[in-house]
Amino acid sequence: SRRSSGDPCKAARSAYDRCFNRWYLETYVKKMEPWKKEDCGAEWEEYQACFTKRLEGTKIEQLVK
Amino acid sequence: MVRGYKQEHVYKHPWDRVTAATWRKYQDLDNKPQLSHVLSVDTIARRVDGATGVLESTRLVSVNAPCPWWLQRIIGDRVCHCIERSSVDAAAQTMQIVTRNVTLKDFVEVEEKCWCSPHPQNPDWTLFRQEMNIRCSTLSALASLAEKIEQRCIEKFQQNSAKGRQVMEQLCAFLEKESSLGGS
Repeated sequence: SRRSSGDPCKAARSAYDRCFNRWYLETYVKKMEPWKKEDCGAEWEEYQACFTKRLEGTKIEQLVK
Repeated sequence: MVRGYKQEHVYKHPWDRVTAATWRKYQDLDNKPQLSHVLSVDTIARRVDGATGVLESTRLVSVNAPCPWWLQRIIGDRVCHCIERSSVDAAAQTMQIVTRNVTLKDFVEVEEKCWCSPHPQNPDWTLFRQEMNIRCSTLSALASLAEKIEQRCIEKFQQNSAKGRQVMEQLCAFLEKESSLGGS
């Protein structure tokens, strides 16, 4: 599709979003211990590594800082 | 010059489900034709406060901004980037979201605020309030341009809010079915 064609981070973002959604509904809002800790660290790292690289040198990088 | 616009909506779903749907609204955009104006949404920061348990998130929201050719020249392209900051308090059952444009921010500031909490009369329902405030810089040469943008923003906000609500209702219905099947 127009939006995601050429988005190299789509898979990493989806993996993170799925993990977050599950954590949010099953742990966070139900306050199941340890709810004050989001447990999607690995997915987040992979997603952010891709996203930061993708922003490098773009106009948005400056806007976001 | 500042202009404001407010609206409210009641979702006949509990707060947990409505806030979960809020996160999912901007995910998997390829399958949401009603939100075709939203090009991409990326989470750029997120943390849970170890003491209060408040979930703070920052997201970059990029929107397709249909605009006259001369405005496109000023912006450089037709994409408008916004920063969305939110806090969710699981203990108090509140969610607040503030979104501001980054593109053209020295010229016009469009701020959208949302509040989401259990409905005061029915705890199984959720009250969703939205407010949009637009502030234009007073550069006189561009004042009438600013007014046109303001008007367009308000129109777009009304249209997009209706589409967003439709997506939210669908997501809540889906999550309700999932939970009754013992899925989560």
